Amino acid sequence: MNEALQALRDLVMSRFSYFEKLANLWQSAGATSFEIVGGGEQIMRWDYPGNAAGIVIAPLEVDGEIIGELRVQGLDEQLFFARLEADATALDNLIRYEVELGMLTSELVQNQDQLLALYELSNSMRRYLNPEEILATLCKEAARLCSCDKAFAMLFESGKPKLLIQYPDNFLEEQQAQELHNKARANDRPLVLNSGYNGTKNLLFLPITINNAPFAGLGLANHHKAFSMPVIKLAQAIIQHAGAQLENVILYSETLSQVRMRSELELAASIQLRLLPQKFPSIKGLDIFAVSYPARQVGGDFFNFISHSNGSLNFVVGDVSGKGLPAALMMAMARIAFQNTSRFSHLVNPAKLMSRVNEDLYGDCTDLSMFITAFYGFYEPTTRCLSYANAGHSPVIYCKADGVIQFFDADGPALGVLPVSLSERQEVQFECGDILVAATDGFSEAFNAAGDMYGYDRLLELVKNNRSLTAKQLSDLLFKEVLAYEAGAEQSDDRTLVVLKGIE
Amino acid sequence: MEMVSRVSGNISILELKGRFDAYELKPVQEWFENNTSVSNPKLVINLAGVHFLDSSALASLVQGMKRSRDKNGDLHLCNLQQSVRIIFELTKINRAIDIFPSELEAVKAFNE
Repeated sequence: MNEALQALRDLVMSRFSYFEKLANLWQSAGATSFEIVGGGEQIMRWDYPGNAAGIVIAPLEVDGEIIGELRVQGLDEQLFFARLEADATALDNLIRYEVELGMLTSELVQNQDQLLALYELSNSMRRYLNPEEILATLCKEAARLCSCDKAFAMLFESGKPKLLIQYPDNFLEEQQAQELHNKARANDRPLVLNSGYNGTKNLLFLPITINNAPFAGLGLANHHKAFSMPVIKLAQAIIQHAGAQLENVILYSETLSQVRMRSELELAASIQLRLLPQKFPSIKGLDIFAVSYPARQVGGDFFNFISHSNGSLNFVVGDVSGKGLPAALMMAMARIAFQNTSRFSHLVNPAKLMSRVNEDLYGDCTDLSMFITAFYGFYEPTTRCLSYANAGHSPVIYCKADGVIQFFDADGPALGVLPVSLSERQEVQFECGDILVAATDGFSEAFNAAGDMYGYDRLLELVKNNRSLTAKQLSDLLFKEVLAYEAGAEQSDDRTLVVLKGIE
Repeated sequence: MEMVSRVSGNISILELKGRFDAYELKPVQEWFENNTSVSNPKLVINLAGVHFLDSSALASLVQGMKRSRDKNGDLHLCNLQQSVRIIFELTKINRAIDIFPSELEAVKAFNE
């Protein structure tokens, strides 16, 4: 009953005048002394003149335990015991209230301390923007607040441990931390191991969840006593604060990297757009239009026109296997290879040009596990001869002015498949009113919501029925029709068109 | 997509089932890596169960062919469904990789 004794001492000091009045009353009754004793020692004593014969003693008893006594000298025990006992009982009650008040006050102070500590924890974690620093702060502060020697905190990514921070040193394997986490998750409550774990005296583990999905956890070990409710509650309050902060940081870093990635992709997309000609050369006897829409921000389709000083034209439509950024990078290389070959070689035979481009790109295609389908054409205005080579590319549609229509099928495999090109030179007489539509398979392989493919027949029919349109009008119509067929279904592949129409 | 790997004599056979696209490449590429680490690798890919193949998948088969030829071996394809056969014909990759109607013929061609 240390608290009660301390309370008695405090009371005598703080309410000295009350006890003095009490002593004076005893003096009036004829007492020569009034003494308060606690824990066997004198706390306070008042002496008055007179005959000190006779002593009355009444015990001070709080919650069944005697902590001291009141003593009065100079009076007859028979006559005054009842009165002293009444004083003692009154003092007992005062002591009890004092003890309770003291406990309430210390609890309040402790709560205040904990709130302050939590506030400081939140504040200190707010400074950090990466999960490592937050977990390290969490370990250190949680150990301090919960009076534990050791702590660890772990972070999960798609169910697997991503980060394990331990304080002050490592005392667990990642697998053990995972095992604790699994156990706590299985029971859906804090894991309390008061008999210890892996060399610790005792251990507490709390999973940290977002929307009931686990994404982190806090472990505390070596509490000076066993883990009991107040500590567990405090630890839970800590992980609630820490969890919210951790969640914010993770979301922030994910958003940041997404934003960075998106802006880089947008840059790539605008660069790629500039790689494709926006203006078309003016070639005698040809109406030219071309356009490309990638399925994602960037794509692997490309086209290019290279006009020569003698009025002739090289053009190419190609499709790199795969989609997105890898295809886009290869597309940029392929475009350059075609451009250089067209511009700097004196070859006018598309098959020989194709062969040279294949040699240029074969190594890269092999290293990157890609291939490129390409349709390479050469138009000579004086003879109206359109020659071409086709390396695995489709669909290429040739519609005569009279409506006779055919595909220019590939004869050799796509570029990058074999070290030597097998594509041969073909030629047609490209008359006024004739139409060439060199598309990529994003057109023929457009799917509707039912999963049916647009297909070659529809494409053929559409070109045939609209051969009187200009190159641009026909291109617009083809895009419109394919989009209408898809009816909002996601574009699954890049889509590119080069349309040539024979004019006067 | 499902993958079943078998060995018949000195020939490694891979059976694929389902949709073979960009998202399914990794296990197939690993199979090629493992099976072209020997010299003179003889690979047969049975595509009987494959109803769709995208350009990335096609590129991975071409890669398998190149790897095996680098080691003086080869890669044969067999049992192509119509929809898959068309893709090989359009890209003319059927001129680069030998395609057989049945697994038996694809295997036999190695032993001739």
